[in-house]
Amino acid sequence: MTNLDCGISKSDSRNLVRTEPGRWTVVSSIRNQATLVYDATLGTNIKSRIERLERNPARAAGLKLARQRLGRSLQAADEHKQHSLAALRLQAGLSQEKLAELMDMQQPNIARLERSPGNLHASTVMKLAKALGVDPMLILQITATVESETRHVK
Amino acid sequence: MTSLFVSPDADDELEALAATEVQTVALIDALLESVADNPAILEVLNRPHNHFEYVPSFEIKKFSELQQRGKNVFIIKIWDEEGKLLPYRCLYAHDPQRDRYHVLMIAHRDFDYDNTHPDFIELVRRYDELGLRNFKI
Repeated sequence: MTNLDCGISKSDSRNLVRTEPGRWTVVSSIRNQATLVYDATLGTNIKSRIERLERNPARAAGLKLARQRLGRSLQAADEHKQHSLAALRLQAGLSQEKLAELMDMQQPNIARLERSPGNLHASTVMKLAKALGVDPMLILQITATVESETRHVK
Repeated sequence: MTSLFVSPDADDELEALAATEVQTVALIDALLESVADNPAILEVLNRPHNHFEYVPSFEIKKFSELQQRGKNVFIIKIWDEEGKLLPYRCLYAHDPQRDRYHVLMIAHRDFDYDNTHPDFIELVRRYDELGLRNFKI
């Protein structure tokens, strides 16, 4: 198993550590988090598999289309048929990693934004809207809905 | 932190399927990627009869026969853009102690969850090989 086989990017491969036979781990520079990317028994982390597929233009195009379809489905499956940041991102055909790259942020920040998008800074709203190709008002509408639901639960 | 692994055998099965059904595999990959990002989407897709409301559609079900044996295995059924049920099932396990999802097998629906079918026996072997614990019934 080479780095490329298990879907590790060039930047990640600098931090790739063989923790034990058959087990490869990326130690991220962000908060020194370790992510297990390949284990001979467990298999491949889905993120690494996606990275591997994204290197094939035809598979990358297929993934983009599939994300767009999934995004529409998630929105329709929502009890209130409401938009969510995750559904908007998927409808734009983007992974969290790609959106992070477009916004000059780190992927864990995108994951956090999608889980709890309330109270965003204006510059983040503008950057999100631009990256997703949507009206900033839609981002504000989502954050306001989430904040209102959170207050309701409290 | 949630993580999702595709077992080596399931990875091979996905790639074999991609030779003829590349868009089906892309849909499975996009779903798995999203589950790893936020497992809460499984709750949305798990709502009973919710899958009639949208396409492409997904249904998540417990694998009863294996759950009764203490093995935490679930089934994903997928309907395509035309609303047609795809003849493949994505079978995965959840390890709650480590919050890890494991894609164990991509099986043809012909196996019909029959506990004497070779795919069923292979699925149990893969579950046990990962060292996943059996919960007490």
